[in-house]
Amino acid sequence: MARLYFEDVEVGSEIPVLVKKPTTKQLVNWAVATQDPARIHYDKDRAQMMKLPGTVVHGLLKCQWFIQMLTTWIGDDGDVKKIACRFLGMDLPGDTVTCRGRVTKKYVVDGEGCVECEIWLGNEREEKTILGIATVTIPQRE
Amino acid sequence: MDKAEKTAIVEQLRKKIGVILEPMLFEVERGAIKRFVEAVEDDNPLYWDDEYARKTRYGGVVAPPGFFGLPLGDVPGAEINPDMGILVAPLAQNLPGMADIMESAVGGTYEAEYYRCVRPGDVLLTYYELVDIVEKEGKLGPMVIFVFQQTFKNRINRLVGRVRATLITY
Repeated sequence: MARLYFEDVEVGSEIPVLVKKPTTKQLVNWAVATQDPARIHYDKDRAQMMKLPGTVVHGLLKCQWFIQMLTTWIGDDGDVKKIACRFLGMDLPGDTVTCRGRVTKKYVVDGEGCVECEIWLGNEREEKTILGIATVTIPQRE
Repeated sequence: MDKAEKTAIVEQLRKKIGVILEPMLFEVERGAIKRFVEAVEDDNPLYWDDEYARKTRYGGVVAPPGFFGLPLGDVPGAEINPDMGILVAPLAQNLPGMADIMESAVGGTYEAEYYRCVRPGDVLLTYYELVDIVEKEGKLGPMVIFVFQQTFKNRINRLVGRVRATLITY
């Protein structure tokens, strides 16, 4: 992919989307990788006891998909500085979820090209299950 | 748990606000980074391929933002309750009553700032803190919101990252 420069980023432009189709297997892999033993993510009986429609995707896994979307966009020469997410709803294994983002602001601080974005995650039921913001730095042309 | 019991526990927990717990130490393992990115299904070779990573400005494999060395097999003394997330577990062992309250907690917000990249072999210290307890009337009834902060530092006491998360209980 062509290298992204700060000068090429326009306020209002959209970040290339990241589409995910979480499976129970992926949730188990995440539970193991993060040592998060919460049963609502892999035990249907437990999830239903907690009045959930079924096992649900980990909130932090969804946050990490935003990181993946951002790092794929900015490349290895950019840095993710900050993300902030508000959890608004649940996503279930079998759903198709899409991470999206849009540039809201760009400025230079201490010579670094900073870009602020709004980010959100939607599923095929047209629900936005996360709303958030992110700040990245992107290299400038010499 | 009835309302009076919960109120009593929350009052106990209030005494812990602002207390930074004994730090926990994690060594960042290469394999743990790989398992993490495999679970995310993020195929950037920067996180596992030496040859590729050497040619980047990092000069070697790094962890993605969001990976702070957690987890590692043996967290000294940690008893992780299967009904709580990892963020709460280290607090629960030090905060009596936390486990009972957290059984039905849901994530409210998650904010993370990344100051330095994390590499295999790094040793990170994690400081946990209960920052605040906020009681509010929500759409589903009275809520108690817990605000936690985790600060990650390296061995020379430089900030590596900071995470602030809220958990909502009804």
